[in-house]
Amino acid sequence: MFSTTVKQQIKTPTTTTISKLITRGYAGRPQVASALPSRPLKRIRVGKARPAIYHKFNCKVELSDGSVILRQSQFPRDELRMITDQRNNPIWNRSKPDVSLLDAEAKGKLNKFKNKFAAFEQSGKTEEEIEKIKQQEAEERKIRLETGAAASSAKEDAETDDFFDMLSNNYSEEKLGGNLAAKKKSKK
Amino acid sequence: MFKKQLFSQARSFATEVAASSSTSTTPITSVNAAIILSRTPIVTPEIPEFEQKYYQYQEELERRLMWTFPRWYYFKKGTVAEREFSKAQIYPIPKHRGVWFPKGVPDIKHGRDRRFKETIILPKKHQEEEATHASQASGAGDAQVSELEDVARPIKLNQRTTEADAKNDQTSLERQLSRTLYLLVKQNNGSWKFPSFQLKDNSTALHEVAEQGLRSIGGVNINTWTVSSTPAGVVKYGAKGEVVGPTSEGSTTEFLLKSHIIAGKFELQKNDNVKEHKWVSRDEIKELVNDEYFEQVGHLLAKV
Repeated sequence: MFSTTVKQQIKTPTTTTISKLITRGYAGRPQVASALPSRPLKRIRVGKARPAIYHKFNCKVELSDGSVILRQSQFPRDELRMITDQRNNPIWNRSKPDVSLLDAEAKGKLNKFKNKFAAFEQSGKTEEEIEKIKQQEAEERKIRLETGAAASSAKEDAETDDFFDMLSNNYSEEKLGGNLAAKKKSKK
Repeated sequence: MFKKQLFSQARSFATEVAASSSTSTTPITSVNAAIILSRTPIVTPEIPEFEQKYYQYQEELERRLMWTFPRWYYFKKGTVAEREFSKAQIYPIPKHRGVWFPKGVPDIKHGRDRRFKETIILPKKHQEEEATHASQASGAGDAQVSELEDVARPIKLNQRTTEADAKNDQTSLERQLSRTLYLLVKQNNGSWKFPSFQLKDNSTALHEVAEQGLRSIGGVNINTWTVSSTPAGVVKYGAKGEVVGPTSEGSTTEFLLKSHIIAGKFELQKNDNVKEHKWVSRDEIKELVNDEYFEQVGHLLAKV
């Protein structure tokens, strides 16, 4: 129903059609239809009457250097503390030689875990050796952060492999149960 | 080669340095390299009252048009987070039959009165800590350090004004955080201007002379970034050291080079030429320097 009326209205008036636009109404008064094509009718569904404006919270974001910025976010938090961001990434802060992600990483959960359970890995080593390992790790991390490339850890892998070899020494897998019954398709 | 380059630069600024010396060369010692060292704004500019009201109005309008916060999406049912969140909310009174609501019948969907903007109260995490901090406030500096190490401490907005602002310490870099600051030095004759250095010979480029000169008066603990080796402006001086117009022939020509301070500090060294320095904004420069000088350099300075 709509389509037919729309078509009629959309048609652009030419000199020949102008006479058609003027029609006789009641009491013989001329009625002029609008020459402009009207907007094609489109069904507006429920909830689509206006653009989506999601609920947003005003959030205070503290960057790693202590500066605070305000931003809007859909996430229900009004405070956010960044540990690593653009302010302590060495790639973006070439002018600040003291900036390092090492400090930022030290505050993370992973580092806390490592500190807590470092004793297992470092058992049977002297303090000097431990210090040396720590320094080496820090250097490797620095290289990784600055260049984005992973430092070679072939030696470390070899060590862990040895450890697993030792664990699996003189061990043969024991068969605990029978084979799992497989469902067979019946032939038809 | 450098001299040639210098002349082309001079010509581009419609100066008379090279033009007058088509046959005889101008002595290199009559050319100075000045450095416009700026500190870019650290915080956003101050918003005028009218603009503040405009933004407030727009925000309130947006808040009214915002959709209902989808709490079911962010808080899983039956979790502690959901319980804490729903506990913190203030729910509107639902409509009842036979009850007269003087301010209109509430239209509630998803625990929100749709006639008004939605106000979400987020559960505070550090309410208890604030109380403990208040009791610890009498403690020494150790308490402050531990407070900084506390990851869950409340976030406070930093001050827009600093100590230097309060004292009006113009030698400090940490003043007027929302403005662009420029380094000015006081000459022996008592006038203020941008640090300027005489060219010794034609082996060093203008911007290099400016940077080396800056380090000779301000120490090496300064990290600068020179925008370009091409000068941004030129100031000409007469025989008595007074500023003359760009069309007249001066005895000394000073090329201005733009540079930014990125890190470090300008610490005034012992020297014969400069005894005092200031970090000042454009408005303050206008008051400090003489009018003829400002007329020549004013257009090079940021108004923000």
